[in-house]
Amino acid sequence: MKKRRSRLDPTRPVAIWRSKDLLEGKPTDSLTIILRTRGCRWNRCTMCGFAAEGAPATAEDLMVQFRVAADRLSSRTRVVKIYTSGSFFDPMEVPAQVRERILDLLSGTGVEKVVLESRPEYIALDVVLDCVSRIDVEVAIGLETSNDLVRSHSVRKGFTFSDFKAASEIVHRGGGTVKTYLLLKPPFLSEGLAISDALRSSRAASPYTDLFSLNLCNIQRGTVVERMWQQGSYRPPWLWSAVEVLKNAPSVPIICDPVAAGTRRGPRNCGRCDRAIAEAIRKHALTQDPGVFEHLDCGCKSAWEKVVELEDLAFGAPLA
Amino acid sequence: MTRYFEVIGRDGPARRGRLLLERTINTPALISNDRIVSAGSLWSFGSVEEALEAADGTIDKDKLFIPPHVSVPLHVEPPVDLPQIETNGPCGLVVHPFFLDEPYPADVYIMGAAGSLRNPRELLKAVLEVKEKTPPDSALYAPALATPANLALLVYLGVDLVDSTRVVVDGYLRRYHTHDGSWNIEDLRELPCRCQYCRAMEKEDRPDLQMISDHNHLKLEEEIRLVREMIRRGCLREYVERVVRVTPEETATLRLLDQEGRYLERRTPIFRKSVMYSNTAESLHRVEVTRYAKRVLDRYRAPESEVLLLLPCSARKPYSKSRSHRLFAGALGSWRKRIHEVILTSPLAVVPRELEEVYPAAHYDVPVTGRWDLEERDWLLRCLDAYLERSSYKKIIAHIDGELREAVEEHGIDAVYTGGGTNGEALSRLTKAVKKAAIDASVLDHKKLRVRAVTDYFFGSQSGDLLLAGEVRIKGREVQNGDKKTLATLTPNGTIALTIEGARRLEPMGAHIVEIGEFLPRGDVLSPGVVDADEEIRPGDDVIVRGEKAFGVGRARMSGWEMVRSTRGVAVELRKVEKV
Repeated sequence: MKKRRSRLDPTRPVAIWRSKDLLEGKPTDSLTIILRTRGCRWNRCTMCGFAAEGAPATAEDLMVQFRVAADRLSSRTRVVKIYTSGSFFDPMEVPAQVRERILDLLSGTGVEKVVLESRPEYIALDVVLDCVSRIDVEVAIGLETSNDLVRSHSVRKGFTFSDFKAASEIVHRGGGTVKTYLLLKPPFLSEGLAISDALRSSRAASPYTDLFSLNLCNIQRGTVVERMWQQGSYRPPWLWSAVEVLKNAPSVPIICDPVAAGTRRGPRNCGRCDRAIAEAIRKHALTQDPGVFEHLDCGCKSAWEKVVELEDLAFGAPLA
Repeated sequence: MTRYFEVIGRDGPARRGRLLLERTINTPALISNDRIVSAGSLWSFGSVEEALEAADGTIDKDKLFIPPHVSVPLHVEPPVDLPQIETNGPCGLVVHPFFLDEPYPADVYIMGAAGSLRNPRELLKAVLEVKEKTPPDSALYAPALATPANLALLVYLGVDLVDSTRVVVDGYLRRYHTHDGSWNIEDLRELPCRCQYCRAMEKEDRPDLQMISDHNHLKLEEEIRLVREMIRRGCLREYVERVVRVTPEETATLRLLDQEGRYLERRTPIFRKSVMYSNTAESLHRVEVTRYAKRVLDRYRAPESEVLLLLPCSARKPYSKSRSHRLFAGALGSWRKRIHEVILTSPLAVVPRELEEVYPAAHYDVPVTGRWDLEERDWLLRCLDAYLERSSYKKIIAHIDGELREAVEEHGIDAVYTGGGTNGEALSRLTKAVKKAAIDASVLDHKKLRVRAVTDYFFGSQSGDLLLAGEVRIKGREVQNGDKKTLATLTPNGTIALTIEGARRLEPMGAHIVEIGEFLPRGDVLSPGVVDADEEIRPGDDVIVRGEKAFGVGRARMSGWEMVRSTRGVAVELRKVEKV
């Protein structure tokens, strides 16, 4: 671990990339910046391997990182997403003056909205008010599921649905918007239960959020889920399941970036149709048009249907 | 307390039983989903309370009810404990093989995440753990695990219920199953099965997922029928030795099970009517073989004979009935009374003549090629060494030939080697050697020695002397006391059946005693009536039934430990009982 950490440069961001995001319903140029901070203070979630990217970055380091990233802004960039693999509002990760400087710098560009991530316990009204006074802010919260049993025992997230509701109210009161992450297929859940859990969660959380982002569980290194996967005890969700959720979620916009789709560690179907379906999912994220899923079919769909039907009665073993 | 499952027959860990749902399921069986009603995984509820409440509404007495359960993968400790749910109907409880304390009572125990058990050691450990911690009269259900190729092994390990989940899903993934293994259907040039589904697919020249799945299901059904029949016939072990060849993993599982020893020994009957085939390397490690060898060394006492004659085995059993052994007997003539005969054979190694009828000595068949492989040779010589160390022969004559003679002679056994064989010359050499060796030897009472040996074999050393104490005579296959009352009979099965008088003689030994409650049983003794039982009793053993109001003899239908732990089923078939 020590060796690895020395290779993680606290003055370099983890990653920076340009993509498209929805802004007021329209696909818009966006820039995503992953800052390297000391990492998530909770750091106990079974599927999350981001802690491995952390380094003890000082306030100065973080500003250096941000300047490196800001070089990638273009004149058309309207949305900037600043993630830390933890909580942007945790002052131990991102000191208040760094937060303020970054938002001020961004408000001086053409950027219209900044998306930040935080666990509910760091979301306080004064912080939200302060941010919103500088630039439009969307706070993303990793609810994962509305089911407290699943969140505490399977994801091991350590907060409750009421904590999420309270945090969401604070963001709204402070003038920000809320994006809610849902996790498709937390460990222990059968394929069928994963679908119904995500749908139930989207219904339960829809009054408290402006946008859903469906995260398809993938196998990150050094995680509990990775160990289960290596033992043949966990399979990432089928892409059909993602389609099923995206098609049937309530009317709040729901987006999904099928990270690692079609790979061994990622959400996948049979291998033949993965690319087309991942493409449709990405298209859906920008259009919110369920029509993109209509023409999709593959021989593996009936296998997935059988898995959905039967996996509950395997009592903990993945069927395929 | 199990109320809806009953074991009615056993062959080692494999059992035949009855699961009493609306329509009875005869196990081992495939259980279909419509015979099950599951309250669901805990993860489908918002809270434990909600789960328990929902469970109440789903109980269905006609089906196997599965209360809410904590579904987790094999190696994850369930993070929540759920309380027991009271039902009046058949109940199937999900248990976690690697995190199992004392589970609540249930009729069926469902091995959670069994479908992930792929590695032989894990599979074995999981089954043994659950069997150890659950009552012997409950059924074991391994969900989503069975295939036509592993079904016999699963049942042999002690699984009573399986389902077709895995092969059905496999069908939709284009995996084609037969009891000789599974393949991707595209890799098959022709389908090795002629069922309706395969015919249809061949006609269409195109695989159909539903049809592959239906074919797979059919193959699994065929296999479970065959397995049930094998249990009825008492030859599941032979069948399993054959089918595990399909993969190294299955073969490894069987070998690991044999190495474990105790689990099988505690469940293996003392005799079977079927022929024991010794066709494979695993046959050498069967409980029947190791138990026989161990009892010959530990319980059996060789007669105080001066001359030992080593003979080869014969295809016909018992050996005495074979042509070769009748010729040997003829050659020995009246000298036979003065010598002790021991037969050398594979896989039983050392068979004293007195125990030639005892299972499996009169019940085995082995491919005879004259070749002794290294493992057989090693096993034989180790047993022979141990046997000779416990006895006090002055002279040994070895009438054996070929590789058997080579093995014994090269091992340095000091004997007169007559060269073996059954032709005139060979027999004269035998006669000559025996005459020379036995000229001063004293006469042995072979009839009594046989009774002593068989009694010791089943009831423990010294028990034969107790049975034969005082004035006794052997008449045919019967042992009588001075008043001509029968004490015991040597049965054609190779066992010894006691009478009440005989049981009285053996009672002080304390062996094979089944203590029952304060009642006079008629017919069978059921396991709820058993207060205590000798741990050493095995299915088929002759037992002494003893209670405040009764004394009797009978044959055990289950092992002693099982009688104590069971609440259902026949423990002892009574042959004779007297009011006390």
